[in-house]
Amino acid sequence: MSDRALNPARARLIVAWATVAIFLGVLALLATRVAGGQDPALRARAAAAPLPPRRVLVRRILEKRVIVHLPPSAPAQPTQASQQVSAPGGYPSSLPVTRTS
Amino acid sequence: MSPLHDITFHSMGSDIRLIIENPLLPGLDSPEVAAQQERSYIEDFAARLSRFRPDSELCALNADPAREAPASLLLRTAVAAGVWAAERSCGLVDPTLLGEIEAVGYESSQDGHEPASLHEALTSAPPASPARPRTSARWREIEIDHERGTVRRPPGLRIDTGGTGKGLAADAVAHRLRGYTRFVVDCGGDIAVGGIGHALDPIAVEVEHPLTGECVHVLRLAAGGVATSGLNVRIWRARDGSFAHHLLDPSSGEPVWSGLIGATALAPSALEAETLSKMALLTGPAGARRALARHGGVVVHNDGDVELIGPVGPGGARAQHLLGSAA
Repeated sequence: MSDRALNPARARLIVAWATVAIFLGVLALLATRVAGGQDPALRARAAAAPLPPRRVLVRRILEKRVIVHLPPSAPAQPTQASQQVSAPGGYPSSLPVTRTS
Repeated sequence: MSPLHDITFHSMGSDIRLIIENPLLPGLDSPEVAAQQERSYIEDFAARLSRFRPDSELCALNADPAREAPASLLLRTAVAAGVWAAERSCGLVDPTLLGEIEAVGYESSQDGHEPASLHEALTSAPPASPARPRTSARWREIEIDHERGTVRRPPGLRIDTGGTGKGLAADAVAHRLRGYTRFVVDCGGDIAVGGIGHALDPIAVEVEHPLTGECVHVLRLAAGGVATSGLNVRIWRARDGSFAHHLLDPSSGEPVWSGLIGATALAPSALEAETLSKMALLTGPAGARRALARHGGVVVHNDGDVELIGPVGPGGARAQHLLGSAA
């Protein structure tokens, strides 16, 4: 009986074919399961409890302030004397003023 | 343009101004005659309701030891207005603080007295704090009986109608002038406006700054009232050298320092405007924004800054029953 050495080129070819065959076998298995609705990733997501819908509150707060800065000046003197005026026009000579009294 | 009559005189411790245009209805007196009649009405109003005149009806009521005391229609109306203001302000504008206001030094009329410096008062004022109503709310114990012509209150409970007097007077005169095309009743800054002329062409009313005397805003009123409360006129030095003024915190009986020195309010009547302006000043900036939100107003902070609130501000909604086009 004589030892017959394996041709290295032949050995590499066998390994390559074996690798391709295993790959195709696994691919066929997975394709079959996915086609049958047994995708493990989809099954895990479906098994999880459904999330409640998120509530988004939108509140609009509007605050309008007008700040008027006034330069200091001398206080106005209140009217002291009684007076009366009859005017031909439709408006008084001076505007009414609301003030502290 | 039709002629108008414009008269100014002194009464109720303030300058009173009446502006009356031609009558709308036939048979009414001329504006000149009407102005003189309304002047007499206001002077009579002031004399009968003054707490500084011992012969006034108000002093007679407060001196009466009986639980039920006779009161004229005018006095009953003035007391009812005080109770109404207390109800409207949840007890902040309280007509039963006469003892407290006398205790802080306002025992006699300050008409003609030079007020103390508000600037100085603010530098020594305590930290700002809003007023609160008095828990006892004794104003609820006042009863007005128009059928019997009396006022009932616990013996010893004295009433001060001064907090609502000018607003009530302005409204009363406005009611009497309702047949004229347009009129302005200005009782020391508490103003009632009316007439078809103003409804069509609102009148401008200036708001005076309590520190500088300058006009800080112009309101245009078609009808209703506007009033201002402030610390700059009825302010004095107490016996201990501290500063005091006439707007009291009902819960403490002491002058309030709320962070505001002036408040102007618009309302459907001068009485309500006067009530709201006092309410705003007593409760400080945050309370004022709530009190003046509906009809609008102007407040002046301790540092002199001016804040417009509600419908009077630029871009704000218009309260058409009160305001014409904004200035």
